[in-house]
Amino acid sequence: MCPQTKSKTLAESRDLALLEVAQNPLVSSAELSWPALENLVQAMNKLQRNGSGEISEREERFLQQLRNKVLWRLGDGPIAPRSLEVEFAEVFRQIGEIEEVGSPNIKVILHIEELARKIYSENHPAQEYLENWISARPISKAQDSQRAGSPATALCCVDEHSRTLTDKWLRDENLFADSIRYKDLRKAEPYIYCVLFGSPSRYAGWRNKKPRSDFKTQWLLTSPPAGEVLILRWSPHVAVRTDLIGPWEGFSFCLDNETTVERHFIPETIEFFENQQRSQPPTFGSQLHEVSARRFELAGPEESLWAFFSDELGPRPRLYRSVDDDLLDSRTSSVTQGQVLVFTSSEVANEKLDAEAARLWAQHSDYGDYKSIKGTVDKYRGQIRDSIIELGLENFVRQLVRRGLAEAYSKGVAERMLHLDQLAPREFKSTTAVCNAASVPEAATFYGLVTKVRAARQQAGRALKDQLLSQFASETSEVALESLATNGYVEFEFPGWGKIFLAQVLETGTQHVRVPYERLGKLVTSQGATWLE
Amino acid sequence: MALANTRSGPEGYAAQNSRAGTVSDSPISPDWFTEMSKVANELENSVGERHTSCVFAPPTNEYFALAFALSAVGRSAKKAEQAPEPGTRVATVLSDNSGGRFVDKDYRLSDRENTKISLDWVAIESGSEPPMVELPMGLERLGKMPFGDGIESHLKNENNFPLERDREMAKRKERWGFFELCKAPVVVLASRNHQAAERLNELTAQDFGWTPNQLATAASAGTSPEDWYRSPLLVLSPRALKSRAWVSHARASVVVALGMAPWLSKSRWLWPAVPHVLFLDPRSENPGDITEFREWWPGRDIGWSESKFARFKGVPGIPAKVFDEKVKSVSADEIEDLG
Repeated sequence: MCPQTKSKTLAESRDLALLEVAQNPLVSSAELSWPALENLVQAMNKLQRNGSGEISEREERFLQQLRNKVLWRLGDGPIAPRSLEVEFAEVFRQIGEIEEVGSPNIKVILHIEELARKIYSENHPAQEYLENWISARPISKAQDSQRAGSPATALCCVDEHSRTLTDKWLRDENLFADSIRYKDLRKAEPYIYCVLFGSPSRYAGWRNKKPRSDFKTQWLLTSPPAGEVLILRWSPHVAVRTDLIGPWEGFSFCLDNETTVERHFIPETIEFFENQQRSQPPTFGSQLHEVSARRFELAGPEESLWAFFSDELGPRPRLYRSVDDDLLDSRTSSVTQGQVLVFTSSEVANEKLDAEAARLWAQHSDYGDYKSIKGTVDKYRGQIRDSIIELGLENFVRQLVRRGLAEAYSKGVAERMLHLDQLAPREFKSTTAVCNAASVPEAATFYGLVTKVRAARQQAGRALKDQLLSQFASETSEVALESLATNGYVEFEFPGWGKIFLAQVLETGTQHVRVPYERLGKLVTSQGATWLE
Repeated sequence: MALANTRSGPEGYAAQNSRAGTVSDSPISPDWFTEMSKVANELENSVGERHTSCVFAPPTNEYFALAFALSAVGRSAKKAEQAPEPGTRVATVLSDNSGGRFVDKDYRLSDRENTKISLDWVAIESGSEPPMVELPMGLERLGKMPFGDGIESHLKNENNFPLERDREMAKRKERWGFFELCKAPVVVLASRNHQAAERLNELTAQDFGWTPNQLATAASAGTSPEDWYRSPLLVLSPRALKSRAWVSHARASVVVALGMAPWLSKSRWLWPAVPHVLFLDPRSENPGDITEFREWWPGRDIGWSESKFARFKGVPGIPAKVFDEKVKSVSADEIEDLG
């Protein structure tokens, strides 16, 4: 007879939670374009199939190294090519050897080398895409679930090395998401959102051949590990075989038809470049709150203007993409020459954000008055900032490290809290560490309030972005936008928004410079004065 | 819809018990459970050479297979039983002041007119015969075992009877009703049978509108072939059936296989007359249930059934299919090698 065990409640049943998810799975896919990688795969295939005569053993080894150690890894998550320094170095070393001994295929191999070096210097397109995707997920769903307080999104990698690299990137970017191995995802409690890299069959392991690999991993779509699953693909990922999905032949499975194809931004030709009056970059005297930032020279009405963006702090560069009329909050390191940046008055933008957040708050929650709760949150933040100033940044970082946070992460968190750059860390553990280090009591209360305020502000941010885009769609705006291609800049006056300025990037600074924190994300003249405020 | 209304009522004492009321007056059975209960109770037994089978692919298999198994408790009561042959050993149930107990006795006809029966030479008053079933050939004895609190606590509803004598009779009839279900138990084949059986308590913690018999079943589920006739539900390892030829003579009401390993073993064909139900675990690995099922399917002498259940497409999240196979049998030699 079976032994008696402690009963579980409905809320604790993983089986029922998985069933709930499986009853209405939302599966969509997005394809990213990575031209250099696509060209590389083509060149490798060309070498493999149409090389001049036989491919030598040495060439075979080199192709294997590139395919299995580099391309496979780059396909297993938003992994920065630069983090694969050793693997790339081995590829280049092998190419060197082939060059030395000579090969009838040397032309193709050198082309492959050129493309591999290009890839090594580029950012992974999935990083930028995921930053926006993760931030755009409504937090309200997570708050209502068992996952409240822990990451709602999981990024699924095949192996531990990819997971570690992905996790590092998530932490560096301060993104509130989990990285998880496929084999752990099988046993995990369901997430709200999950991102798969490539077709599910890729997770079956290299020993599994089709269609076995599709059968084995089809649960990722039919009984998914999250309410919403995104299949993110880029070269050389293969497409999903929907006919092999399901427990038996004839099972009807429909991948969301709304497949998005996200193309990497291709810089437009800068025709005005030579006519533009260039100016000297501004210099700033030594200031109390200086931060490291990248410098961007922008087209301006009389002479060029300047903008500074930090990799970690302050506002992010907001790109206007004429190809699909969209606004995209980009990573600072991803901004390239020819792209168009959008600037609004930060004062107006902040006021609008607060007003919109308060409006959404009143509509969708019964937590009380937004302004008074935001005020309470700001009071806590002020106490934390005062404590950082009092202890000194380095001491405060040491306090965080002592409480179990990684050193690099602690430095970023301390800087952001000092400059009131974020409401609080996204993870409860980190917020508790910050509160304890700053001797601020009631970390749990603070965290609870921050989570709610953050959700409201994120939703408000999205709503404001849509409002701004709708202004661009007006006829007068469309005419004005045409002058962007010839002048390199355009200025609008939108009702309720005040002045909006769009400018093409003339040059990106390769060196980091020290600038006052309050200048981050703002238009600055060559004299160092802010413009548009 | 209430679970009790979705199922054909079993006959005899079991039916009385079943109708005695669900745990709650308005149980909240989820749709998937209501649909699964319909299949569990209406799957037809095999006719001629064709055998009825059914496959489910829920997100995980243990939990949902056991929900199905519990909802199938009561199928057995539908089939009329033959009276035991005099001179045979029977399994039955006795009651006294300390409660009910499972026993096995020698069954005889004791008077000259051959109208009264006796169990181990103790004459039973006419009209007071407990339900009984012949022990299958090869199973000599089972011994005795008390019902225990696990069963008794769910069965007793003596508060409905003001008189002591009536209360005793009511309790006795409930025990008899429960034993009727034990005559042909639901057999779950699972490689890790103990682990699976432990999850029954998880299920009954949910308000799915369980009947007292189902709750008592969950509390008493057997995990060894020697628990036959002592619970309406047995969760067995296919390996445990090895060298026990008598099991092929013991009746089951339905066979549930947890995953492809027990499905592919010959064990399920020990009971070819009753439906076989397969629960796939889509998350299983090496090579995985779905892989094995999709590779097992082609070339089989099977087809989707044209029975009324062909219309049953499963509920969202739990795809299901009913199909038929050619009946197979297991020889005595094969029973020796089971597992």
